[in-house]
Amino acid sequence: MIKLRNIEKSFKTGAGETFVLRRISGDIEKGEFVTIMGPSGAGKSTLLSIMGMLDGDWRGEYYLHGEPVHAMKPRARIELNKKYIGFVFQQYHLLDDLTVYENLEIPLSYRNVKRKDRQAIVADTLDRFQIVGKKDLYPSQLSGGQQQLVAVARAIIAEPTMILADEPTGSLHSSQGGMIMDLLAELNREGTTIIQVTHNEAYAQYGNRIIQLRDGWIVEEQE
Amino acid sequence: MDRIRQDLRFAVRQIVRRPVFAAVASLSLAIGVGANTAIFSGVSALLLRPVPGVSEPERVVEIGRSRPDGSGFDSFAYPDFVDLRSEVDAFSSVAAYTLEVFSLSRGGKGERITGMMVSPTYFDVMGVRPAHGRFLLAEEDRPGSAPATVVLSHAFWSGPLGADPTVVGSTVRVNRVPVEVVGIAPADFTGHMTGFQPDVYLPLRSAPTVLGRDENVFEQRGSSWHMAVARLAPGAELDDAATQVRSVYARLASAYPDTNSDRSGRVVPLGLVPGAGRGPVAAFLTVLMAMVGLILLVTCANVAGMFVARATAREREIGIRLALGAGRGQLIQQLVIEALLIFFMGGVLGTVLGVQLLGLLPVDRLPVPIPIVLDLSPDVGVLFFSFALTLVTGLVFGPLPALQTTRHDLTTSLKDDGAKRSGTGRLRRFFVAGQVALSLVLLASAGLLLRGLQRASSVETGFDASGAYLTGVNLDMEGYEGESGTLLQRQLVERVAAIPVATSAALSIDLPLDMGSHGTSAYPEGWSDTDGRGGIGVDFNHVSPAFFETLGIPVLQGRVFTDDDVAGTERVVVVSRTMVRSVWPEGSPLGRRLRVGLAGIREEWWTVVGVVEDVKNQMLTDTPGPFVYLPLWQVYRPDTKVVVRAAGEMSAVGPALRRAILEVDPTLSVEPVISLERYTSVGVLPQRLAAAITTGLGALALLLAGLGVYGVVAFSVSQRTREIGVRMALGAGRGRVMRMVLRGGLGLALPGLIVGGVVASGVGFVLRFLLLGLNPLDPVALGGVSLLLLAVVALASVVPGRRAAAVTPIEALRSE
Repeated sequence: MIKLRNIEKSFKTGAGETFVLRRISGDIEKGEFVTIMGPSGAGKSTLLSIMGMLDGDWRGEYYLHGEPVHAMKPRARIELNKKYIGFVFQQYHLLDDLTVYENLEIPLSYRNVKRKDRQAIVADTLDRFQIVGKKDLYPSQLSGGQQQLVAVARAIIAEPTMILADEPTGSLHSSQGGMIMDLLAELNREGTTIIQVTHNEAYAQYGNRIIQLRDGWIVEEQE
Repeated sequence: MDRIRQDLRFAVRQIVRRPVFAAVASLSLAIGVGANTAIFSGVSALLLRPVPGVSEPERVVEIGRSRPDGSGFDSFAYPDFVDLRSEVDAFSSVAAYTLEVFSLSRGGKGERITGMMVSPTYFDVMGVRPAHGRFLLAEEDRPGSAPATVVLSHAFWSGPLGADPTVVGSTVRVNRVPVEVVGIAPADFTGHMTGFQPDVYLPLRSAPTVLGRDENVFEQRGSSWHMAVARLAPGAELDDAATQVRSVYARLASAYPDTNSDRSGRVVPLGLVPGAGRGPVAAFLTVLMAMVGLILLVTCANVAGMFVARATAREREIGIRLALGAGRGQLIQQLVIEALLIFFMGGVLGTVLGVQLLGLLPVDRLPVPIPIVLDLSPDVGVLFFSFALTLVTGLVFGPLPALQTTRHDLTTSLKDDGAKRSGTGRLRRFFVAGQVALSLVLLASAGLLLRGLQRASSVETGFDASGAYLTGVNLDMEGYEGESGTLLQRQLVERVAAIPVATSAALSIDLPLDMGSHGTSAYPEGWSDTDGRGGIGVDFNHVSPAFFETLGIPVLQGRVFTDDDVAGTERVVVVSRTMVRSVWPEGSPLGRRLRVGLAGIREEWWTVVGVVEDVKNQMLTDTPGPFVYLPLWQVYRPDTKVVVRAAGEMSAVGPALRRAILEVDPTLSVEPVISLERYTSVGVLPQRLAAAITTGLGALALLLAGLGVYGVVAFSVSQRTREIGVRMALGAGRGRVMRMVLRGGLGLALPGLIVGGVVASGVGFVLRFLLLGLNPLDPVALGGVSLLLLAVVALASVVPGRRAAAVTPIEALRSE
């Protein structure tokens, strides 16, 4: 599903070039639950951003479902992102001025799903995540766990084949964190590929594979 | 449509949730749109609207006398008009006209009215039919006929005359001459000029009897005194008519070289502003439109800067939307819809504001000789203009911040430090520099116009307006005639001069610098009028003896009039310095004789007894021409101004003057008292209007530029709090921090000051026609406004600078 070959990212500095990622190569198959770990500054979030096409400034080869992302123009990358990828962030990143319902609706709207279909899909999702009663509330009226629940619901609403989760439990306390991780595991069982970045050893175990990064290099892979 | 509806809903929610931003932005825009709406309403009312009531107005033209190079648009000599009428077949009908003020009396009551003297063909040219009775007949335009008839306007008939159906056929007295009312003009026809809506239309041929004008003006090619309009013949175009008019003038130049060698003719489409005034009015309004256009740009730059600032604060949201699959186009659409909604609100508010501003214009109270009636109510064109202006500015300025904001890469935005990047900062700095530049241009305009006005007070006018007050009394309307009128006028002068604070008092039929004049021909003894010159064109005034003393007009030679210069004694005149230079350049003018082309006295010889200084008779920019003063005690004129020079304020002199007049005859109708300074200020009215408008707009631009600089500097300071903390921890004093911020503010404004300075230095040349001779590069005006703007920029930087200097290193470092 994902094929990375010699991915590198660097910044020009006065002293020369500072690398964030060095020669990252590897494959991720459909249905995998991969965890990326490493100390701060190792390049975990940067790698996730590249895979999610949030960052377009890098070198190397990246194939998603066989399509060469590295050769694509920004507009084509956005289309690919819309088609295959859902995001979950540590800070939830719900839109403050939209209600829960509207937050869920927005990815569908960007994919030009018709209004009637959008209403049906959002209603199903609210039901599935048991947040029907919260649909008219704004994010500021929800707890952290509830916000992340909505964020996960929003990530999967457009039926992506892959969810990229950047420290999805980083801002939650343990009970809420566990609930989110259970949810991701369930989505994985249903066939969605999950790639998460975490510092938490216990949550890392939810994955079937752990990739360790340090100073931009892959230093270890565990099945 | 679905997406647009969704974006619109979100935009409305943004406004509801952040009402202060929306209110400030839309109010700011309202100022720009409102100023433009107000001035454009004037443009529409004066230049764009078709003349109401005229049939096929596009087929009607105005004809004017020009110089051979095509410049100018002046009045005609009647013989030239007759030649044009008979020789130009591109016209189906041609009419001559003049604008006048008359006194009308009926049933013993008199009133001041406006009117036109017209050829009977005037109504054919306009393509109108009488509402009642008939219009003027062709035989009423024959030499010597002078039939005493009048056509009333519908408004005058239905207003003061109460729509009395028996008026047609009745007799009224116009300037004491009995005339028969023969018809009523239709209701929708109010004359062919904006601002001047005549109450009555009299035959042009009755000018000698009704106005006392010299009979010979109809034969003299040297005397230009009326304007003309014409209707194009079927199939003829304006260019055909213009070519034929020029060709007639070319023939006349050969036939009458003494009078016509420097004459040609111009033909222009009919407009509400007469052809002669259309150029200056258009130039004046163009300047005003440019000024309000600048203020609109300033307000748009200000609002665009606000949008950039808000977009910067919304980068996280924009990043999330991009991460959720929004295309850049979709995001730009959303941001543009939000901006357009605010621009739309500003546009609606601005239109309302503009209409309100117009209501405040004292058009009907301007001190002009002929009452102005101006319909400034907004029409569809004005509303369309405001809407188009709003849409265009929204479409130009709305997307700029959106384009800039959606250009960033997502990772940074989502890490919540997007605000520290420089792209939107650069755009905001650009907008602020633009505001500073535009403000400097507006301020320079205001500075130059104010300096021009200041200079106006030092322009030699030939008289002293300070300390003089005036009112008007028209004895025509009061039942006085001839001897009884003169007797009353003498009593009036004596009584007014006896007011305790008065030093002198006088009567005259004309006053300087009031945009009006009385013109005729004078025939100095020894001049031959057999060559068609018909004497020399002069302005004249009938004055009482103390006129020169009351107005402070210096006497250069001989004497002025005395109370002994009465009917039956030697007829005497006083002339101006330029009259002497033109007519008697050598030798003393005293004792010379001349005739004056005025009805009833044109055969009399008048002896020059004195020479006085030239005065600016109509406008401050006048070049003085020959001027003849006649003694009021020798030639009675009923409609006069009463002028008093007094050592007191208006509050004391005004009631005293009125009381003094009413003591002579309690039944007199007295016009409101005003100061001569205010009355003559009409001579610089365009300059005063332009200065008032640009000063207001300049002050507004200055405020907006100050706020713009403040916003960017304050934002920059908040972004540099950590840096400032580090600097202070390393030993930087508060003064140094303050200087650093101040330098940043001035650096921000510097590009705007340079660009604005270059443009501003050219503004004076564009405004030259309003500057009353001031140097367009006047260093005081340009330097002064530059320093003012610099001071405001410095002040706008000092406030955030003080805040930065007050930060402790600990607080600053904690902010990271």
